[in-house]
Amino acid sequence: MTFRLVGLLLTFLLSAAAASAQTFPTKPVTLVVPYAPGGNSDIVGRAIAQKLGEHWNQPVVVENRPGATTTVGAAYAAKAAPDGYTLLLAAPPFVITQYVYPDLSYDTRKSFEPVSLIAYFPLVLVVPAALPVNNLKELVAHARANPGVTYASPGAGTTSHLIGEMLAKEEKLDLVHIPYKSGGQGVVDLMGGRIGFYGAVPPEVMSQIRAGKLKALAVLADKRSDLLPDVPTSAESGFPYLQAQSWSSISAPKGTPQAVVAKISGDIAQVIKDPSLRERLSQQGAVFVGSTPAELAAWYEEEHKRWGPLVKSIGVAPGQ
Amino acid sequence: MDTLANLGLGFGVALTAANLGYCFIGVLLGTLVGVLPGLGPVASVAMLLPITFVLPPASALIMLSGIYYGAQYGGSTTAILVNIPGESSSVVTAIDGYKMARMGRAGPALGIAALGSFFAGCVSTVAIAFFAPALAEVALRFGPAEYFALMVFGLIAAIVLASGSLVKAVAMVVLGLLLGLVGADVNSGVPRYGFGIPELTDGIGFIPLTMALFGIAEVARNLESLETRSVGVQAIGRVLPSLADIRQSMGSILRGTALGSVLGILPGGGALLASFASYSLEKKVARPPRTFGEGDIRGVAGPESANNAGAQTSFIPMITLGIPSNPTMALMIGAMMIQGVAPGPQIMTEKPDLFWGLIASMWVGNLMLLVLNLPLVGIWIRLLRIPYRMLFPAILVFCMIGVYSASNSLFDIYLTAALTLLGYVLIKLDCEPAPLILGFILGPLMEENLRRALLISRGDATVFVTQPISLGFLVAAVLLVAVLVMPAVRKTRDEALQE
Repeated sequence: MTFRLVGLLLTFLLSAAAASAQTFPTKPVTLVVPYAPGGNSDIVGRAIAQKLGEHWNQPVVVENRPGATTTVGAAYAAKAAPDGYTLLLAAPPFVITQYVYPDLSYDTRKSFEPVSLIAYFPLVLVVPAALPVNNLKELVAHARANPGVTYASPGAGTTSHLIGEMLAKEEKLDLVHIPYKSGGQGVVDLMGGRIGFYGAVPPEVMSQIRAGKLKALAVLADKRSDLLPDVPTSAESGFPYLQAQSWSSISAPKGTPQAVVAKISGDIAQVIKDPSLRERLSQQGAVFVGSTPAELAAWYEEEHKRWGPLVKSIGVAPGQ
Repeated sequence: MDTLANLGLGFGVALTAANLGYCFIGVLLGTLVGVLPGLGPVASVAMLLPITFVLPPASALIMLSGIYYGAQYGGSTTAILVNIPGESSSVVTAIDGYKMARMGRAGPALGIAALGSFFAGCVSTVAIAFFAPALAEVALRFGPAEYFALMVFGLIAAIVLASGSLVKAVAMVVLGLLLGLVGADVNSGVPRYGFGIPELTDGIGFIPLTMALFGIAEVARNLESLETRSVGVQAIGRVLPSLADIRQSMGSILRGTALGSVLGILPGGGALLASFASYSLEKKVARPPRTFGEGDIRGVAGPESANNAGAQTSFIPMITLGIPSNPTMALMIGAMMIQGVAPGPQIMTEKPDLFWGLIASMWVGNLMLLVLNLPLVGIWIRLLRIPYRMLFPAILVFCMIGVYSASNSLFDIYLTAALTLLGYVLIKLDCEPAPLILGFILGPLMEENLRRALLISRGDATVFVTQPISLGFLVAAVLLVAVLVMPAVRKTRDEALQE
């Protein structure tokens, strides 16, 4: 009797869970974007939120919670109810800050369920048009002959900073990192010839490249970019280790039901096929993925491996 | 002439019924959102951005620009009516504007702000149409050394020409510099004065600071007075500025427009410097100067013209170089990207209809702003008739909404409360918050550019005097200090202040 009751109860609960995943969402979903409005991640977040909202017939509200290199927003999402109604748009700092901030209130691996890698954006290495180098090899030779070549980044610990450190370490170069608060002012100094090079996300520099004010030396990925089909990859240029990309992924608080995670992941894979969305984001230099949760977990691990030891060795560590 | 033909093409785009409509909706929405305390242009554009996704690119851009001007003007409205600047460049508007409102001259203050902005908008639009590519080159010449020198000059000018006690002005600027130090160091990422609070890693927010020091501290001061009924603005007076007002402001508007058009081109702090510089300049040339800080209409006309001219010319680096000169422009670039348009050097040749349509719409937008706002002045000042005991809770609630919605952060509300205490103490000590704000904004920028210039030169400090532009600003700054310390001049200055 008791067993039957428990059995019934279990069946009921299980079917309720399954039903909740199938009918998810039944109320508006919040997508936490840990940046101020207007940046690359915010644009991706808003685009995906709009399409998911249409797909689910429930509004997906973008909530900008900027601060402390995305850790304020991530900490907020980590504490949210694990029901799929609060999601986090996670970008490279999601992994890197783990090695930068000693006392985060969350752990990238333990506090989140990976959901889906939406897209990644390979960085493109640009130099001022007037700089007499035309490929990565010449840039390295130039830097070797002129110690103290400068490079820009939108802040310490960003991928743009870390590729400079990577290049300096591997090629034993004396490079000077010039951090900016945003990429824009760095691009001005680059165009003015005051800075040596910059590993930028494509939208920051595309129009300058096309106008001939900046030269793109390499796309820091294993495949050429559709936006810049004539620009070689870093491997083609002889520096296969020099790979870096920005990326946009969705993670959910730890404990979000697997069925809900799987449903959201599947729905993202579906909505990113939408041609209008693709057109919008391809301007940003996006390579679309729409991965499974397991693939995203593997992606995060790859990023941990790529940046973790490097960040530790150069000591980008606030609070020390 | 090519430019004229292009402008013709532009007006062809801007004057279609649909685009006129979008421009009007943009200006209207921008004004409505912008008059909410704390919601300046950045917040307004961010909130209303999604509306434009469904429009064709030219219409979307025209509407967004409308929102931008509308919000900008809305920010000045709150500065004048309730002493809450919507953004950094209307901080100085609050000084004399709010005094005017308390004297029953809110109408003329709002009116002259609208007229001055319109005039400045028209002039700077012409400047953009004829000189955009050339002006963009000027922006490119400004590297870290040049910015540093410009800011040193700006800060010293502000101190030299500040109202009231010189010691207090210097103290306020220094306090602002100190508050500006809070947050992660740009070069190393090390948080300073963060007390382990993650929210402080990005520093103290501009919105909590201005809300607290200007708006809420003012509410506290008003509540303190026993006759609460008399603190509200009782007499409404004229709704529009008189001919005498306009005549008195004409010179200020012209000078403000010139300053704003030039400084607005510079990414990072240009428009802010413009409004402060204009206020200082007006104070310097005004005869007699004593009325400044006591509700002088020229103290509203000059900075408001400068701020609007700067807002227009800040489009130059954005559309010709693809470089955002302020956060609002960064949002506009985002909006253009979403529309599949990449702003940058080739936009004039590739999408002339868009480029010139936008320029023409700036003029149309400014006209609409004027047409929309002159009648609204009557409504705004009627708000001031509401008894203060009913008005102040509304001000507080809107302030809190503004603070919270800027970054969805509860911490910012607590921060505002704490800073309000500071603001109240400053009022009691008779210290003005405007120099503090200037120090707060320019301080971190100065430090950033100083260290960047030295990083690039590998520690060689001569970089500041070997670059001609940088040298020029530094020489001007030294001259200003010389004027300040020359005893004879100091005496006249003191006399002028004691009048």
